[in-house]
Amino acid sequence: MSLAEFTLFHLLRNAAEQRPDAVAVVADGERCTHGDLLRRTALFAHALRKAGLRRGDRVGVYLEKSLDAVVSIFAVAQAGGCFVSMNPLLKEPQVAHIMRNCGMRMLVSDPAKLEGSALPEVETVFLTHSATALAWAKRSVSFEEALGSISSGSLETPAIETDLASIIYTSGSTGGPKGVMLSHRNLVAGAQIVSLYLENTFSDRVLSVLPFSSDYGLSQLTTMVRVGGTLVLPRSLLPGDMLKTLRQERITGLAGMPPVWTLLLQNRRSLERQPLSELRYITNSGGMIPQAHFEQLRSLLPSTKLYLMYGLTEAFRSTYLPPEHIDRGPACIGRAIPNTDIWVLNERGEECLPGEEGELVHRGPTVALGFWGDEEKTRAVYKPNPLASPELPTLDRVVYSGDLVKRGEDGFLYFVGRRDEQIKSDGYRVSPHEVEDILSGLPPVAEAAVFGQKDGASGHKIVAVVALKSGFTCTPEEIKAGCLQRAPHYVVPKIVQILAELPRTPSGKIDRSALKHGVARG
Amino acid sequence: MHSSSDGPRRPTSSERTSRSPRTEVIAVIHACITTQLAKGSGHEVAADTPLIQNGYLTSLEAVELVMFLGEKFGIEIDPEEVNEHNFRSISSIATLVEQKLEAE
Repeated sequence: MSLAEFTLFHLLRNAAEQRPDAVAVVADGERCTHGDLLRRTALFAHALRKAGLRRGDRVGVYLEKSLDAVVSIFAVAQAGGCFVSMNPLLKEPQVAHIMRNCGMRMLVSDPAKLEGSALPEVETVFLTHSATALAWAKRSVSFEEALGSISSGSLETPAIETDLASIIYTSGSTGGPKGVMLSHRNLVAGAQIVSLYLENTFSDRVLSVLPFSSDYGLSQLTTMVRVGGTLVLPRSLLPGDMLKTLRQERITGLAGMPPVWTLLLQNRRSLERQPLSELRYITNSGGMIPQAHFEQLRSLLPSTKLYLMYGLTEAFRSTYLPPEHIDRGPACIGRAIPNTDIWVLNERGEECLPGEEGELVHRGPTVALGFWGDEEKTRAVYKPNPLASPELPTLDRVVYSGDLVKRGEDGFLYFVGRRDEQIKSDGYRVSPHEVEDILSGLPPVAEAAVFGQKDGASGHKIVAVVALKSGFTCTPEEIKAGCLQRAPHYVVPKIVQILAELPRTPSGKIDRSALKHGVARG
Repeated sequence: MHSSSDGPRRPTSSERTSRSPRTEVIAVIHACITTQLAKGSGHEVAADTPLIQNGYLTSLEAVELVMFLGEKFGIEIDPEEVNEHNFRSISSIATLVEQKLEAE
């Protein structure tokens, strides 16, 4: 029998047909099989249609990571709507911005998250746990009652692969968050590609530590459903809880960003005593792993494959470093993911030579549909394929990442920095990462973020913001002196600011724009 | 659990707040969360306010707090004890600190 893999819903239906009794989601002590997940999803999809959902309507999912959140995502997809996952850490102003920006028609949330809120008007709010009247919602319905009121089971999805499936709001380093529009084809191709190179099978049990509101976090859900594996949703990421879940659930795969490794590595003594022998792989994206953590992970997890990956929401995933090449170090982002072209282009749109820095440009089936309601920004990032032969119409769109990379002589790609973060210091081109590496190598420094501040017409001053390791004290002058011992003067920061810790975005990345504004003010 | 070379510096006995009454332990934790981690401004973080689910304490901040408490009280909190149960509220963290102080 051949199985359709056109829309997100098909991935779930296939898993439920092939492995109905295998566990799909572990959450809050509950183990939900693929069969049950499909049944709950179909019920809620019916409830959404009954509530008046039309094809393409945006439905917000503003929930803690839970089985209800998983059901909501798939049900909106099945009903032909567009799900908009919102990070549960977001507060009223950001939620209101997203709701207004995408013209949200329905919302699934928890009364505890909405207590006392005044949000833009929506048609229907589905509330988990209990239904409370909300002034800004025309109707509020209990999620459980909505499911209970449906008698029939199956519902054929009206969606086709080119339909809008989701809008993902990026935390957005400049200005307000932008909504990246993903089609069903983008999501399905992403799940196919990622599960291929991670060699995922139905025997994988993946721990989901990243929010479903990010493309990277959503990817663990879509890949596990696609292969009929298990996704474990932890209640807490405190180091003790994370380790306990990794051991108890015999987790085989863990996707994280640099802060996740900081938490995991708190447990180094326990890991030395008792290795995580079932952990088949870990993946890193969303920033480079600091060298020290990179080495500790490799020595404490000797039987675990480490995948370094690179991606931006505008194109879902772009590159990965196959684990057998891990010796190339944490700055290496590997090569194109399967079924994808990754080019390094210079300002004239030609391919760079090895060693030459250029912009990473992505062509393939995960290139998203653009930014919701923003034609201008869409045109600036999604451009016609510059390498296509002139006979081809220009419908083939590629993503200009805004990231500078270079291809090594070994053929692999190395991250250099954001194009708009490049620093021109005393006439030299300096990448913030280069300076951050030097700072991180100084004994008292726990973490560093570097950027350029305009200085004169064409140059920058290097500004460094550092957080010190616990128990260390030192002055900005000592840090500058330490850098000067290790690097030429034009790489040494002119301004060093010491903070108790670096500010982070809700997704856990260093909040560079907050740092820039803080230093500009202070 | 023995102290290891990568643990925080252990204060001398004169620096240590020995046999702190519970109210003092609670005050120290409260000050660390509201002042050093700058959380809970404009809100009242009570001894039994859930910390994690209300966003007063992220996982990374809990790690910071563990280092701080280790230095302040001269105790060593095992990473495996940094869990939801012990870090539910200021009060539950204080109980953990007290257990550590008693075990000294």
